[in-house]
Amino acid sequence: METVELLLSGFATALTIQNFFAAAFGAFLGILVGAMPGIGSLAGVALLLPLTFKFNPTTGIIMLSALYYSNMYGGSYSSILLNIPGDTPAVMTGLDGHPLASQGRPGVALFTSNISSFIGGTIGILILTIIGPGLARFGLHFGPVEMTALMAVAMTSLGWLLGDNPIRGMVATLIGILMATMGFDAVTGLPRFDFGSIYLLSGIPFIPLVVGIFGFSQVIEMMEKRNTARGFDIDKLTLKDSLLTKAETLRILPPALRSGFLGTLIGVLPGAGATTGSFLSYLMEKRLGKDGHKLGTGRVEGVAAAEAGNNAAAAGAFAPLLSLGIPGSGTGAVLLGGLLMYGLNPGPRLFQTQPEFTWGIIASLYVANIITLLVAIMIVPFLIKILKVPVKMMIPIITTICIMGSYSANNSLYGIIIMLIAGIFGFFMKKFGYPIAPLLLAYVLAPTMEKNFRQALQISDGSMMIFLQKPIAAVLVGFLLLTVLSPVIRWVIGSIKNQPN
Amino acid sequence: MKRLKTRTILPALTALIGLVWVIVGLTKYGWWVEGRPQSGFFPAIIGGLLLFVSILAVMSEMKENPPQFLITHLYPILAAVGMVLAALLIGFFPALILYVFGWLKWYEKYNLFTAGLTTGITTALMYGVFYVWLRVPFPTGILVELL
Amino acid sequence: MKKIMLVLMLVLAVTAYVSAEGQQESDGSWSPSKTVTWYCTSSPGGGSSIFTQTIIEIINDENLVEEDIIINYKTDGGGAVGRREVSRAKTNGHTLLTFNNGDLQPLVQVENGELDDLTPIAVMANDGQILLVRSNYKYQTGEELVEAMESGERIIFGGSKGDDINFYNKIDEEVGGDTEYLVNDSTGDALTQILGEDIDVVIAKPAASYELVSSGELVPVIAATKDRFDEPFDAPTFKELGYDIELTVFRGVAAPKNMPQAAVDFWSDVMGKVSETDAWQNNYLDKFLLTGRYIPADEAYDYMKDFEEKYKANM
Repeated sequence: METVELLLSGFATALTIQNFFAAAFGAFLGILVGAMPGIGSLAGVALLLPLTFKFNPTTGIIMLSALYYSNMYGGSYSSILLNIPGDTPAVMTGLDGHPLASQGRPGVALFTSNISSFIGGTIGILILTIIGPGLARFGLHFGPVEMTALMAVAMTSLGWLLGDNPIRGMVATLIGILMATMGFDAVTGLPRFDFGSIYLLSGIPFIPLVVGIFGFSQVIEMMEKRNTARGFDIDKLTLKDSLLTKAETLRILPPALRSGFLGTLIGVLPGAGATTGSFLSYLMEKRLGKDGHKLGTGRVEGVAAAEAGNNAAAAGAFAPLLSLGIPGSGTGAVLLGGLLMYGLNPGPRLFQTQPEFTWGIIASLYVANIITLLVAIMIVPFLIKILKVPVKMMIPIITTICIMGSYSANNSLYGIIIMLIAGIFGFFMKKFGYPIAPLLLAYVLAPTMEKNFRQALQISDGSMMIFLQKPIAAVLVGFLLLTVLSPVIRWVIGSIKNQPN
Repeated sequence: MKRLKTRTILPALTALIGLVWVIVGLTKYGWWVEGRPQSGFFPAIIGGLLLFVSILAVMSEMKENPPQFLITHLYPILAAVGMVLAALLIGFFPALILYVFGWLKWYEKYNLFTAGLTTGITTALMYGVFYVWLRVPFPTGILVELL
Repeated sequence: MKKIMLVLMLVLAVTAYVSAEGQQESDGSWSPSKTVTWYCTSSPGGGSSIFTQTIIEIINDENLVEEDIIINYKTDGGGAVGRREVSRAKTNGHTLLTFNNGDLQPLVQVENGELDDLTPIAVMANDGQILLVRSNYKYQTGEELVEAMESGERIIFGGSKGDDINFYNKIDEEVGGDTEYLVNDSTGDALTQILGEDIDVVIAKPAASYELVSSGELVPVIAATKDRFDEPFDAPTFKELGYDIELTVFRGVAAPKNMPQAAVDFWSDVMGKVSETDAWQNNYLDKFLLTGRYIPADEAYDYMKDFEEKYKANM
C-alpha cells in the first residue's frame, strides 16, 4: 500500500495552480504542433523540450507529459478534418475520422478521438502504475525472432484493409514496402537503391511522403468540386451537434477499452511503437467488433479503436523507459533526455532509489492526461469551424501548409520535391481506386520486419527452425499459418461442396 | 489528357519498378550467402511480388472504365511548383503571400478584402509557427542574397 | 501587382541591408554580424543534438556571441546532404557543423568526401566504448571472454551503427573466433537484446548504459579505450589483455571549406571558452560520462586527419 500513498502524495505535489496552467499551456502548444503536418511528435517534443526547463522539475515534467500526449491528440485532428495525418498513428484515425467529418459530423469524430485517447492513455498509465517493471521485463522476451513473427502477422493482416479490389490493395502495399527498402540497410549499415543520389542515401523521407500522398493529392482532387457546396449543412456545425449521443458513447466504450489493453502491450515491445498499436487495435476492432465490417465508412468505433490503441501504446512505451532506462523510440529518447535533465535517472533502480520522484512522475502523467483532455475538448468548437471555410479557399491554404511542412521536416527543398511527387502519385492512386493507408503502414512496418528477420537468422546461424523453437514465435507462426491458410482451406472445401455429384 | 485515359499506366509503372528492384537487388546487393539473406534478398522478393501483382492488375484494369481527368487538376501542381520557384528567388514568405493572394484574387475571384484577410491569416500562422517559434531556417531567396 | 512587388522588393532590400556580411574589424579579428546557422546532421534529441544544444546554451548564457545561433537539423541522406551544404556554404563564418567520428566515417567511406571538404574548428570531448555482458552470463571477466572467443565458441555481439561496427571489426580482426554482430539503430535497441538474452555481449558507451551497469544487471568486461574507465565501468582494456585494440570517439565542430581564417580563429576561441565553463563540465561531460578534451582548430585538423586515414585504410 506504500505505492498508493506515494502516488497520492505525488498527486498532492502535482495539483497546484501553477502546474495546471503549465500543463494547459503545454497541451495547447502540443496540439498546435501535432496538428501541423510536417512536424512529427519527435521533432515536436524535441523543439518544445527547452521550454519546460524554465520551471521546477514537477512543473516541467507535467508540462512535458502534457506536450507528449497533446501532440498525439493534435496529430489526429488534421487527419480527421483535412485527411492529412499529423503523425503516422493518425493514419488509422483518419480511416473513419475523415469520412465522419465529410458527412458533416467533424465534432463527433473529434470528441470520439479525444475521449478514446483519454481512455487509452488512462488504461496505459494504470497498467504502468500497477505492473510497470514486470511489463518491461515481458517486453524483453520479444527479441528478433519474436518480432519477426509478430511483424509477419501484422503485415499479412494488412489484407483486411485492402478494400474491394484486393489486387490494387496489394500493389499499394508492395509499393510501400519497396519504398521502405530504399536507404540504409539496417543490417549492413550500407545504402541501397540510392541510384547514385546523395539525397536518396537514407531513402524517402517519411513526413514529406505522408504530407504529399494524403495532403497535396487531396488539393489536386479538390479542383473537381471546388465550386460545389459541401455535402452537409455547415450551419449545423455547432457544439451541440458535435456532442456524442448516449448510444454513441456506449458504442465507443468497448473498442476503446479493448484497444487500451492491446495498445499498452504493444507499446512495451521493442521497436513496435504507437503506429503498430493503433494499427493492430483498429484491425482487432474490424475482426472482433459487432459492426466490424462497416469500419472505414465513418464509424465512431474505428476512431475510438485507433486513438485508444495509439495513446495506450505511448503510455506502454514508458515502461521500458522508466524501469530499464531504454527508450523505445526517438520520442522516447528525447523524453529520456528531458528526465535526465531534471535529475531523474530511469533504470532498474529507479523505483528503489527515487521512489517519491518516480511516483510523482506517474502522478504527473495522470494529471497531464486529464488537463490535455480538458484543453482538447475546449478546442473542439474552434476546430470544427475550419470546415466552414469554403473548399476553394482551402486549396491555396492547404498547399501552403504542405509546402511549409514538408520543407520543415528536414529543412530541405528535397522534402518539397518528394512531397509534390508523392502528391501527384497519390492523386493517381485515388483516381484509379488504390488505397493509400496500406502503402503507408507497409512503409512503416516493413523495415522492422526485414531487420528482425535477418538478425534472427544471424542468431540461429542460418537455421529457419529458430522460428519454431521459441515458444512465443511458434505461437505467432501458428496463428499466421491459420489466418493465411484458412481462406485457402475454406476455398477448397467450398469447391468440393459445390461439385456436382 | 487522352494519354491518361487508360487505367493500365499505374500498374504498368509499378511492374517496371518491381522489375528494376529484382534486377538491381539480385545483381548489386546479393541474395543469400552462407545461410544469411543479403541486402538484396528482401527487396528482390518484394520487387518480384510487385511485378507479379502489377501484371495481374494490368490485366484486370483493362476491363475497367477510365476515370475522368480535368485540365484544372494541373493548376495546383503548377501553382505549387511556381511558388517553390518564387520562394527560391524572393524568399519563402513573400512567395507565400504572392501565391495565396494571387490564387484567391485572380483565380477564385474573391474580393480584395476576403483575399487579403485570408492571405494575412495564413501568412501570420505560418510565419508564427514555423519561423518565429520553431525557427525553421527558410532560405531567404537568391534575389535577396544578391541585394 | 506591380505595386505589391515594388513594396516587397523595398522591404526585402531593407532587410538585406540590415543583415550585411560578417564584420572584419580593423585589427583583423572577426565577429558574426547576422544569425548563425549551426547544422546538426542527426535528429533532434540524439547525442549530437544534445552536444549542440548544450554548447549554444552556454554561449548564450555567457554572452560569448552577440548574434543568434539557430540549429538546422538536416538529416537527409544520413547527414550527407547537410555535410555537403556546409562544405559549400559561402556565408563568411556564419555556418557551423556538429562533427563526430560518426560523421567523418560516412563522409569518407560512403560519400567519397574527405576532411578537406570542411574546416575543423575544434574537438570538444572524447567518448569511449566498452563491452558489457549480463550478470548471469557464463563469462564474467574479460579474460574468460577472450579465451572463449579464441577457442572458437560461438558468441553473438550486438551494438549500434558507426563506431560500434568499427570496434567489432577490430575485435574480429585481433581476437577472431566464431562471432556474429547484430547492428541496431541505437544502443538502446542493443541493450534490449542483451537483456532479452538474444545476444551475449553488447558494445555500448557508458552514458547509455549507466543505470543498467550501476544496478549490476550488466557487467563491464573489456574497454576499448586507452585507460580504464572509473567505477562502475572499471574493467581491463584490450591493451591490458594483450590485444592491439584502442579506439576513442571524438565530438567536435567543423565549418565550411573556405571559412575565412579570422572566423575560424573566432569560433575556435569561443569553443575554448565554452570548454572552460563549469556548465560544460557539470551539465555535459559529467552527466554523459565524457572526457573533456578541447583541441583548437589547427591541431584539431591533424587530430581528425588521423581518423580519416584509418577510415580510408578500412574501406
